[in-house]
Amino acid sequence: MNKHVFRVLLSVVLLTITLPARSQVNIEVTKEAAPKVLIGMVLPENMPEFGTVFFGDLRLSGYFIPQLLKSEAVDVWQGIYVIAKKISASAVEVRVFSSGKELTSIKATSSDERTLAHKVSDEVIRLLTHQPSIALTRIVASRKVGKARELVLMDYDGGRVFPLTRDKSLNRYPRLSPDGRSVSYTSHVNYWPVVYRQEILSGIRKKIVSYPGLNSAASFSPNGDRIVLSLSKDGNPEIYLLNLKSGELTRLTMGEGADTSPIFFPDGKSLTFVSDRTGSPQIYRLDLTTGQSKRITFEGSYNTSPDVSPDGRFLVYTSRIAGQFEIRIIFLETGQDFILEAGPDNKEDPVFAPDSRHLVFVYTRNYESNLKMLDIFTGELFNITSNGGYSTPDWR
Amino acid sequence: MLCGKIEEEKGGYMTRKVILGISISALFIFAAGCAGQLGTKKGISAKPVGMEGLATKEQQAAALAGKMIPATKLQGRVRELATMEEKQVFKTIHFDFDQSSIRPDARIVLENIAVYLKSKRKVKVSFEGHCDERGTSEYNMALGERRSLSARRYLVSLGIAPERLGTVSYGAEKPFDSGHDEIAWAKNRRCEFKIVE
Repeated sequence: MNKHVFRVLLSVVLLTITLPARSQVNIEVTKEAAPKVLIGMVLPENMPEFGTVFFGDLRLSGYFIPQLLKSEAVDVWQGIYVIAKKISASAVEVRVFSSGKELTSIKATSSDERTLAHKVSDEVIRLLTHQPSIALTRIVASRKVGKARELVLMDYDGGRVFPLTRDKSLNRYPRLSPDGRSVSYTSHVNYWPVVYRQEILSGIRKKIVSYPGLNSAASFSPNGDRIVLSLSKDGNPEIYLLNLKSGELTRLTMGEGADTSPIFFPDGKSLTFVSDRTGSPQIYRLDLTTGQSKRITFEGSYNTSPDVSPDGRFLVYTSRIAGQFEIRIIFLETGQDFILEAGPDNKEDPVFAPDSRHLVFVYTRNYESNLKMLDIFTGELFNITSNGGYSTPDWR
Repeated sequence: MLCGKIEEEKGGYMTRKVILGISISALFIFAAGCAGQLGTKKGISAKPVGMEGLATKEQQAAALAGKMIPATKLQGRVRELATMEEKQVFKTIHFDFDQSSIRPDARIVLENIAVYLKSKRKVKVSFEGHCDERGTSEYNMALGERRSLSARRYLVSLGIAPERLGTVSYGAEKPFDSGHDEIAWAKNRRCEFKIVE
């Protein structure tokens, strides 16, 4: 396969449309330079779940239009195709072809078909696109269960949802550590809200922050050695930095107004956070070397829940416009700020996927809240959950 | 403060009952006064006699000036209001949309609470801040906390020790009214009180 051709096919061109400043029109802010690539798929007959998940991963990546093929059909197939074959009870082999020539063969092992498929998809996507893949990533969220909120973890495509907490209290604001192995969250299990850190594999959790007052909105630094969070111990919700090894706590914000929702930028040198110091919540950027904060949202009177893409190019947030919540995106290089078209009704709490291309957000219609995925390059939307009650997701 | 003195009634004579009554009260006043002057258990800034459970001058001044009063972590078990008196005194207070300032109707309730807490010096209270369902989740928790801190600060300005007052926020998680209209939302923007023992 011609690498150069593929690179051209997959390069993303940003169409910056000249509009009067402060536009509120919904526009597609980025567009792929070329259409998606058709990929033929010959799937093993006796592994239906593997097949569904493998197909779904290629489609959700945003780069491909997968098409099922019968094995006889490959002879006349133009372009890229894969042939997947079961080689043992827990192993699969996928051969990747382009224009009749075999590019490579991928083997994966796992005791369950879903994991097998994600493993294989991850390799295929990265091999063919030279871009990060979300196939092996996971989403954590808080879900309403009766009067309580419990944390759940799921594959990024909404499969394999399993509970992380079962204590019938309020467990909220989960954030995954950079290595994806643990999750921090705020719990009211013993009435006063404190921050726990829980190891996902073992389920063992430890209280890591329990100052007087509010302990909330904890999120990890890019290398996982610190967390930033909102504490009201000094009489008002402010942003603090906690070194997880030494326990050293540093206060980062002062003064009037409640400050919350701190998120690190990927270079670890600044943070974004929410403050209502001007009377209503807006989003700020805090430079950790100078300690200075700068306001970065100016549209409307209610801007909250920011997130920064792992590649550092975009900042997304929730904005209340005429009583409805929209997702807005800031191009950090240019400072342009647009609404991201993401369907009707309320859209809140957008969080980037590790590929900096997809977002998960909470979509609320008729007071039912579910998780949806948005591909910011194509504008495509996908449902992740459908049984309602979801809030504040995170994605690693 | 009388310390061991007994006052004589005008007219020159007192019945035995009166003498006994006055003597007993005087004894209590004497005991309380002298015990206070011996110093507190912790040995840090012994509060003057009768000041237990009340804010210091500095705390009260800071609260009146609208300054931030450091939060308190209360020890003890949290319980719902139980007695008739508690339910009458600790009425839920409400807030305007997106606001945490204390409204005039809330002021009256908080003033009654202050009177109650001054007469019952050992009582500790948790302030539970809430929001209506509009608004995003994490900011709602901060707004709920602003509401409970605001009510607490008002009580400190009225002279109640902040060490007796804790704060919690539930954001929009525990609505009082599960409706989806202005009436329900107004009921949900509130601070509720619980007793901590």
